[in-house]
Amino acid sequence: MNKYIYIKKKIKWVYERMIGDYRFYIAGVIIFLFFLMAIFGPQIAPHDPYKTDVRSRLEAPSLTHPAGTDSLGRDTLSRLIYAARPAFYVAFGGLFISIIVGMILGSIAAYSGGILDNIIIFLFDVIRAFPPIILILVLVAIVGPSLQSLIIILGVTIMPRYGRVVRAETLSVKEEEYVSVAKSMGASSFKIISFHIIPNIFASVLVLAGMDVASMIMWEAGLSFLGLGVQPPKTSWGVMLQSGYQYIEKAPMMLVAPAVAIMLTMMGFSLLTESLRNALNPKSEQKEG
Amino acid sequence: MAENLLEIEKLKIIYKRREKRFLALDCVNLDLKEGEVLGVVGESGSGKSTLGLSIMRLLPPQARIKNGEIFFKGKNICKINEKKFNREMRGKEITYIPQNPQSSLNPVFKVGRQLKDIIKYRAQENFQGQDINKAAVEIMTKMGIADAEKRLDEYPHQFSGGMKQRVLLSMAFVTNPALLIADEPTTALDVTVEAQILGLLADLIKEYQSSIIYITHDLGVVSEIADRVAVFYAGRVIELNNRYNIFNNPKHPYTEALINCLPGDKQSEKLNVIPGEIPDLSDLPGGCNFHPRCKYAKERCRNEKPEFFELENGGRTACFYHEEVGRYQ
Repeated sequence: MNKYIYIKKKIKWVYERMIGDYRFYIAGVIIFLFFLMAIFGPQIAPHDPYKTDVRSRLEAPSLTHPAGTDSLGRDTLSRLIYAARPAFYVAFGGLFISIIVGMILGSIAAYSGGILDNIIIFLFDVIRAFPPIILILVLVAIVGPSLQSLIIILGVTIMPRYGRVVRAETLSVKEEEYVSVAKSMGASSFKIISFHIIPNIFASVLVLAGMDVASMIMWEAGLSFLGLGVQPPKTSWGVMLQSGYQYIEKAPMMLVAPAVAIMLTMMGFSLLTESLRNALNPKSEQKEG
Repeated sequence: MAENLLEIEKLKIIYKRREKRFLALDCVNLDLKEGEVLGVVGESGSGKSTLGLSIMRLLPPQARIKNGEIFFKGKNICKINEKKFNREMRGKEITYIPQNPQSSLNPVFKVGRQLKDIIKYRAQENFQGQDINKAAVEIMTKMGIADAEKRLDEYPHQFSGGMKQRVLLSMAFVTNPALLIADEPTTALDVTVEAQILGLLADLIKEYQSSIIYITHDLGVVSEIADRVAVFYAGRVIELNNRYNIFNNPKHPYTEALINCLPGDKQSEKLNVIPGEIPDLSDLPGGCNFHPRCKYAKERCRNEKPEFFELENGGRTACFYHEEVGRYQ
């Protein structure tokens, strides 16, 4: 059967299996809420997240402040909603950078071969050889902590994953007959990579990226907690955790709220990945639905 | 005599793999006139496809041109700068029809987009001032694709094998090439479609006046389409003659044996085969490459490599005893 029809049928098959899976719905609801908060945060937040009010600090949840207030009297729920945006930026910005860079380097390495291939593979191996946290600490020390540098650093750190996948896929696609036909018609190397190779390997890159969203969100929270990412007074789930743990006895909501937000978001993306993996595996049991 | 479009002189190509050296082409001399169809016949591994690739300058990196020259329109194409060659020759003056149409179109883009790209980048001057879309419809209709306007908007998997080969033919002919290299273009198709494509190709040759190198292992196809036939064996042209003489008066034992392999009229008759196998290209037998399988072989064939003998009927053969060929018939 033709490869393209095969992929189309496979997508339909996977979709049919996914809609019979309860995990897919839970994931869908959580991811929808996450996107809603990230995109329309300023519109749906009940209060200004930066407005301090020392008279009502460390309040317990109430009707005006559904998740209570923090040590400066700022509304925790509003800060929580605003904090979805940096998480969104880091997860998708970082992935975007690593996909683009990984795709360019990986396809060039595989397509040209020879010494250029060795150099690029060596670069990937160097990045992968460091434990990620140490590499990130070093890079943050060089660039300085901020949201932008966090995006770039995480992008660079996980880029070799994509580079290697793209390289492996390119090695097989470049032997396809339509590539040699394109060569015989005088297509340039740039044209062959951008028109014939990348579009044919993009699907596998997307699957990998879907699996990385959750870990990117965790990285953002973790690094911001350590003070290496988003800087206060800007808000991020990691920043909120960091300021919350000092008041764990007086106002536990300050710590619990961002922790639950991180947990739910990661669970959402993990469930999506799980259900996708389950649907892609022909041996897994078909869920009743 | 019109000047030759293509002249290949003493071409010798070696493939290197590990420490082994494979002699893919050995001292190949060929010439092609304008508008001529040259059939290139031979077993698998006899160097036919290497010949095509060397003219396109698309040899794999492990292949080396050891010696020899290829002249196209009087210019030595081995010496043209790669960028210039890619811009002015490959896919424009010299085009290529692949062996397997099923996998020769990019599955993720519409056929129209792929064809229009060729027109846009390779054949603009042929369609000056004309709408690219119209030009694409025109060429596809000419290739016998019904309802071309609608089909431009379809993906390759919606085309049958024969239809794909027609699309590839339109990609090859739209640039109005001087030379077309067809590498077993009908091998992957079934017999009725093959006949249609061959008929179409014959019409196109008349219309475009392109020269064609038609590479195949199917003698039947060659007998329909070729003006002259070159028979390859283990990297050498062992016989070159016009179509009539090749089939009716072969002067090389290998050609004769090949023709005897074609199924005869009598149904009960067993198919003839040539005994033995094509030799290992890294370890060729001494003397004439064909001598271990040849029924005319004598002592001299084992020790001496035969040069070409010009034949009275205009052809060439590489056999010491070509006058004896046909004796056993």
